[in-house]
Order: sequence, then structure tokens, then C-alpha cells
Amino acid sequence: MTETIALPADVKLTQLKTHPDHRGELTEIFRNEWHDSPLPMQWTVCRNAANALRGVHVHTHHWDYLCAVGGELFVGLHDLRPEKGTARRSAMLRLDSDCLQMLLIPPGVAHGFYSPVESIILLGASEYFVPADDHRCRWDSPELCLAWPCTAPELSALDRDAGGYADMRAALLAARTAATD
Amino acid sequence: MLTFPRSAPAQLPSGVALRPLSDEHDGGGSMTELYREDWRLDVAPVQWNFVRTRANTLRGVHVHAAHADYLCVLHGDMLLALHDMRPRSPTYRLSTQQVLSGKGPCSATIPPGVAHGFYFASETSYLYAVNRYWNLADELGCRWDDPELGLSWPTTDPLLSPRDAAAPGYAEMADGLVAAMNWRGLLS
Repeated sequence: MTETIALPADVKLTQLKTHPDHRGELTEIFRNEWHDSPLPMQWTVCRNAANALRGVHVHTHHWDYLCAVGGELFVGLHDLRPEKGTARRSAMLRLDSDCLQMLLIPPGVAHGFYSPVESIILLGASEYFVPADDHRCRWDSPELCLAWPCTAPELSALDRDAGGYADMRAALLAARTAATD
Repeated sequence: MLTFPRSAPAQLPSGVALRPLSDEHDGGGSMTELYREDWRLDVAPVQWNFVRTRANTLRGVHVHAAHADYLCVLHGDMLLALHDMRPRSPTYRLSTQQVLSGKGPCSATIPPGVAHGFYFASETSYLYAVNRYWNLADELGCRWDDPELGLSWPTTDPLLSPRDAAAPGYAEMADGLVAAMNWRGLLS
């Protein structure tokens, strides 16, 4: 049960209400009025092969909204914000498209997505994707304290060649400092 | 298998837009940009819905006086049927049908005043956004098989919601739309 997992501050996991009938089902997955956080400017559909892992990434600026609408997904989270009471907290969530949930991930919380089976994710972002707002590290860096349910996932070239945890954390903190100067 | 044309029809109701979406593939799957504010579409979403539909389901025919729809099929096929009910539109009473597929996705923007129905021959899932929160008063409908719509469906006994099964005829929907658009000042 994901409800009992202690999450990094400002991460929100919301159970969505599905309305079934004899034709199928309808779920309101997002309404602007539900959220106080910056609203998405962009929505992307992400299709993942079985055993694919995306991440681990962290953003300086943008908030992510995530809903697994096909298959299932493990989401690893790790708080890189030193000013938060949940700094360095890690959590592993399992999202199942048979029970739709919306996950909100704030800037500064590193995240990775693992698909044990084919999955489809709807991703909202509060700013347009730019590579400069995407800091990466190896998915299996031990400092992340993430117990992935895999040992040899499929990775993109960028994720395969990503640096270590310390590099990602330093890049994030430098970008945050530059943004406030 | 739906056999209606998958390429863009020769003419669409004015204001309807079909936008091909590009997939970017990598080792683990693909990413498809579904919506960006800077695309300057005629729909600024305030709400997104996700729908799973069983085979032989028909949703509609509906028309809205106030809100626009923006939709995209994720899996399966949708037969999108459109009929222009806006008396001042250059394409007034034009009817078209088009298959939207989860393979080679594209999005469709449907403005207010264009009646629409969706038919699914097989299990299908799709997303749609609206630029106003759902309001029953903006949900006008008529019988899916009303001949005035000028639509040819590949089914005779689809699964319908109780509301769609009990929907009135075309004339009543048209009167309701004109009244609602007049009230909103859209026809004055």
C-alpha cells in the first residue's frame, strides 16, 4: 500500500476516482483547480518497454505530474533539497494503471521510473523540457537508497552514461544557486 | 478492423484540427508530445480525462455550446464522426468521419458547435482535454443514428450510455444548441 510510505516533502500521490459503466470507464485525471503548484505547460505520453528504466533525473525548475495509464510502474524518489526536513529521504512507489493515481514531483526531488511490463505514462511538466534542467545520475547509485526490482534494466544512452550521485547533486545545487543570483 | 480513411479527410468542419504527433524513440520506448501551450491551439485545457472503452461502444452524438475538446487515442482505434451544426459556419452541416489510431497518433481539436460521436470496434483507450470544467448544461446530444447527421456507422447495435440511448432527435439538439449559443452571444 503506497499510502503508508513516507514521501519527500511536497510530493503528492492522489488516488483518482474512476467512473465505470457497461461501456468501460472514465477517470478525471487532472483539473487545474486541484493544484496549488505550477500548472503543466506541456503534456507528454511516454511509452515504456518491459524492463525499461528512465532516470534517475532531477530538475532545478519544473514540477512533474505523472499518471500511469497503462501497465504498472515503479517510481523511485530521493530528496536532494538540503533545506527540507525530508532531505535525503528515499521512497519507492508502485503505480498500477488498474487503480489510477496522480503523482506530483517537485523540483529537487530526484526520480526514476521502472516498467516491469509495458507501460504508458502521461507526464505533465510545469515548464518546457530543456536539457539544462535535467541533471542525471546512475540509477543504481547506492546513495539514492532505492531498492529497484531489477538488476539489468534497459536504459537510454544518456542514462547509461550518467555520472554518479555526487555529480548530480552538485549540478543541481549549482543550478539552484545560479537561478537565485 | 475499422476501414474508414486514416489520412486526413478532404475537408473538415471549420475550426476542427487534426495534428499529427511525432514519436521520439529511444532504447526503452518512445516519447510523444501531446500538448504544449506554445502550439497556440484553440483549446487551453483546464481538465484532462482518461477513458477506457469496450469493443462496440459508441459515445455520442454530443455537441457543446461552450467548451472545446482536444483528444488523442493511446491504444486501439476510434472512429471520429463530426457534423457541423453552426449556422454561420462556412462548413455548416458538413459531416466527416475519420479513424484516429493509437499507432501513429494525432490529436483532434473539436470546437463548440461541432457535433461529435466516437465509435470503438475494439478495446480502446484515449485522453481528452476540455477548456471548461464539465457541466451537464453544456452536454447536448441526439440519437447517434439520426439520419440528419449524415453519418454512416459500421454498427447497428452499439453499447450506449442510458443518456445516449434516450437522446432526442437532431432537431431538438439543433434547437438547444442555437438557444445556448444565442444566450452566450455566439450567434448575435
